[in-house]
Amino acid sequence: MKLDHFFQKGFHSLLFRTSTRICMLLFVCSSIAMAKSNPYATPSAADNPVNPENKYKVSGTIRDLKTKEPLLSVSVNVKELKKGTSTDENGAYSLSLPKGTYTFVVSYIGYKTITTRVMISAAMKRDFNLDMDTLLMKEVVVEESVVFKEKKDETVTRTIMGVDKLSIGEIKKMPALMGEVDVIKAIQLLPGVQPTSEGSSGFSVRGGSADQNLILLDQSTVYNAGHMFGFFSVFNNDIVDKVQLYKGDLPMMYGGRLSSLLDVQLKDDYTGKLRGSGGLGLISSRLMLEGSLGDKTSWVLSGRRSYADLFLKLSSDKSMRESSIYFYDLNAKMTHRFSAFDKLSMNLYMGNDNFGSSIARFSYGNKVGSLNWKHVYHENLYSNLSLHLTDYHFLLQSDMENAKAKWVSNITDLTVRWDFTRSVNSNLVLSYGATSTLHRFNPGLITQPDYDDFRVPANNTLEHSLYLSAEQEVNDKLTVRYGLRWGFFQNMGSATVYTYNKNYEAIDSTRYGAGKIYNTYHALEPRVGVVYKLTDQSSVKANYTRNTQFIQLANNSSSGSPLDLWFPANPNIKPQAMDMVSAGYFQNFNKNAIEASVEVYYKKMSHLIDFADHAQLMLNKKLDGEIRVGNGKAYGVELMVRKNTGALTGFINYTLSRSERTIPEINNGKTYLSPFDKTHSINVSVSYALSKKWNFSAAWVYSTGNPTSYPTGRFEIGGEYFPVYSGRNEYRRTDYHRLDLSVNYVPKHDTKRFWTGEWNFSVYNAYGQKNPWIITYDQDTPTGIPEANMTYLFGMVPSITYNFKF
Amino acid sequence: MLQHNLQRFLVKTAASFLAVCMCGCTETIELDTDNAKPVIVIYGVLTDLPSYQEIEISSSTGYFDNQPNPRISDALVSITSEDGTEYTLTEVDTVPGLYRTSVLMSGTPGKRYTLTVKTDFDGDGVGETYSAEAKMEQKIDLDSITITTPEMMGYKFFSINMYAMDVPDKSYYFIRYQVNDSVYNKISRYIVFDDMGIEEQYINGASIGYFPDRKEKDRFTEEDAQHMTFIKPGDTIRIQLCSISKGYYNFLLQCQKEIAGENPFFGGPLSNVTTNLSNGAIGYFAARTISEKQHVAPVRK
Repeated sequence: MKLDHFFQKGFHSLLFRTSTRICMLLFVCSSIAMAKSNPYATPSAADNPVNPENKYKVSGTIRDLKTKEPLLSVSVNVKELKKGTSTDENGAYSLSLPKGTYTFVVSYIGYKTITTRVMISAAMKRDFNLDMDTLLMKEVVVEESVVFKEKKDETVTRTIMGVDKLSIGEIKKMPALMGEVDVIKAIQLLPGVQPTSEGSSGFSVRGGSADQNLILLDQSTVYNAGHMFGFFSVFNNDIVDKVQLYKGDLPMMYGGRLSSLLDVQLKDDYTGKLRGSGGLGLISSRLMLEGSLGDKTSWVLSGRRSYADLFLKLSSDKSMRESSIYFYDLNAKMTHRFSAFDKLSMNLYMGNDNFGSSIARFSYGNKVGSLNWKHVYHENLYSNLSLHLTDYHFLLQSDMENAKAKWVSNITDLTVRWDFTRSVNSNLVLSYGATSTLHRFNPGLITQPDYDDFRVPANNTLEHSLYLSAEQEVNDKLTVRYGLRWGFFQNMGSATVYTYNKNYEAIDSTRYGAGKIYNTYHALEPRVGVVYKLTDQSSVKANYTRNTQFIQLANNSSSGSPLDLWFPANPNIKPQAMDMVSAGYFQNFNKNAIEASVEVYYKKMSHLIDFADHAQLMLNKKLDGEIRVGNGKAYGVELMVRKNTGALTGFINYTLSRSERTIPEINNGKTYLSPFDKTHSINVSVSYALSKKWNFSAAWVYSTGNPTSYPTGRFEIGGEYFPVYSGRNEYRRTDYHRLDLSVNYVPKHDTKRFWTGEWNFSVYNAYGQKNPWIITYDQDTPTGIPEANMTYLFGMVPSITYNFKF
Repeated sequence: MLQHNLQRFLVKTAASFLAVCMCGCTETIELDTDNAKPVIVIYGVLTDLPSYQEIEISSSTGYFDNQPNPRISDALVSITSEDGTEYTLTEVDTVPGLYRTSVLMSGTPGKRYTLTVKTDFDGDGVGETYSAEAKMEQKIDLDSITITTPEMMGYKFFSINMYAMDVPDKSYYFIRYQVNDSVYNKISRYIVFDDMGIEEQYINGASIGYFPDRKEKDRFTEEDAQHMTFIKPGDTIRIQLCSISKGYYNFLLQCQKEIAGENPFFGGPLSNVTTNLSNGAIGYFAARTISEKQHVAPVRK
């Protein structure tokens, strides 16, 4: 019998029976907690020169009265001039006003509004401290969500397009699979975003593949954001502050991926007294603590661990007791403010998954560390210098008799970046900076007791960039953003580079010594955006962006896998590039309480990579020979309506899109659908706060079924049937739809209490839709004729979680 | 051998662990697919043992067709060695579509053989010619096999372990096994591997498979047991180690992969199995050199 077959069939059944036992332990659960914080110190005032128009600059910082945290997006309005602004991430605002006396209205949801008279005769600094309005606090979670609310009319005014923000408060109210609140699952509800497969934390943005998304945790790259084969994401919601997804039009400071940037920012800069939050779910339990050391240093610690495996130890079965299956996450962050001008923070993350038994072990995880120094040179210039270290590794080990072996693989990045922001005048802001990364890809080292080590040589590459971007308010109506990013990529020895013939067979090789730069690619990425405000509540926008991707994932499976092998561009593989144009109309209603938008996009990808049929991607020294290159295009329309205030909040969106690839050696050169093409997609997410105690949420998703290939013929050898396909992705699975529900219940709602507990009950797939996950074929049927089987992952999955904060 | 198998094995193990957490369910469905135009299917594997070498010819059908695939009779079939010797294969009276050499024939390692099939498959009154070439690889000698009796995860197994010297140059193998009188000759039962990680090294008792103890058959579901081979003490296990070309190795692996459909974590897009036949035919013409050993399953200590 084949090893392979044995494990497929034999062990499956072994494990399956034990699995049903574990399944019982694994129901449900989780989340909510507290979050509140804000970025850093204010650029403090320096003397402000009188500008030519006889206007004077009024600037300052707005903070929470109690915690002294700077507040983001507080609106500052000058009543007489009907002019206003809102605070940036540092709580800072600035206005240019002619001489005179004005009424300032400083307001913020959840806080008492300040109305005050201010006399202006010279440039001045004016700070405000806002007091929380407890009467307005409907719900514990509302408090969090408002803190991160964007500038109220931001959707209409910002120049970047295709950006979606979700507040952690909003995310926590959404129903979650097994109660594990998950930022990636939440962004999959946004228009143009799809999970790569059922329940997966891999996602596709506008038809792109999962490796075209740059995922940043406080600016550090995270290579694999999934636990448990991707069913849960690595981001522990207790410590997440803000999540933003840029669907192609990336901020100029970032690049290196074609489809999107997922920017996950962690909590920071809390200087109040010790507080914490956490939760007990059936998958995992979490605890987050934050506090300060003096008034200049803040810290936050959080941890999460799944614990189904702890029940394995109670099993009467020896092999069960020897098994393990768990994941954990640890986050630590510390920030010290040396002065109003300098802030240093350190961020650490470590997460791991472990699957083990007496005969095998599989483990994988991320390690991320960064140091970040923010410095304010003067009011109009500040910089951010940071150092990032990222590592993703996996290990596979067999302890079976006569088949002992161990495979380790990892990817390590060391990045330095220095970013500057300069306000030239009130109408022009410049951003510029540089980044440099050393990537080291180590695809695999195999050790086995009786044989020589087997190693697939490591790849070393350097990826640099320089960028300059300007955001200019041309007049009251028109704002433009334009910039250029210069990416530049180098392959470095030691390396053996093969040359391939037309049939992708290696015919020659060249050896380069250690440290030798043997190949360089340059990429210029212009990005331009225009916003024209039609009224205070509506605008039209257009933009163009070009992105280049130098490194990619060697994976062609439908669900992704933890066996992530990244490989770089090299003399055989050109960098992938994407050009995208998009346009949109944005309209807010009811004083920005309702936001509506329509965006259209068209993107063209060149040197797009796909893999040969039956490609051998693992442990292959000649991986380049498995790569096929062509072009791709994707286009679509995204409609979104969103309501942000009141008892009923939420959004509904619809996407109509197409994504296809044309690669000469795949599908006989005929254009085929990207595996992530979905013609129609509808997402509805609503939340209703019935009272201080009860909050109800629901999410419904619908999308066209994934493209797939179904056999159109069969051939027979030795009594077995093998499939024949007429082409790639010519069929689709049945449409996907699902309803999730959740209820939050806060038994004793009192903000003065030391401890606030909250129950969350949720149901994933409430009407038990059987959405196909995989289609397989079985010919061990009574007639011997093959039949198709559909496997669905989840029936109705109820869960319960207890969350607390103190 | 074993990285290749090992890699896949570990992956499977991991996938099985995954099954532990997800409560997936499977049900039979109807798929409405088009039926592609039938194509001719030609398959045969030449050996280095003197025998009546065989080629099978049939037609493809729709995937869910409820009739067995039609056999193709009356074709003109020949195999020509690189030195020009031609062997004609004639259809066996009792088995339509099966063609055999009329004389005993054995392939020689290092030599190339060309298969030619002439028939009017498309029925237009004009015959078509389909051909393919196969190279017989150098033989690798199996020194011996042993059978040990490990116990893993609470289950009793017999492990079959092989001893042999891997030849220089990249080499590709498959193993076909036989328990007493039952030969397991389905492609899905072959043990297919290459010499990655053991190139030019002595294969020192590497396990080629773990066979569960027949006494424990009841512990598996009937459906799972169908795909497993059980062994009891006293059974004679015979294995054939076959050296094959890279092309045929890929063909076998692809057949094994494609037979069951989608594999979400570790499978790529579903694709056609490659062929070395010309003119639109599918299937494979290959050659294998055989080294055989046998051993009796011991009594468990």
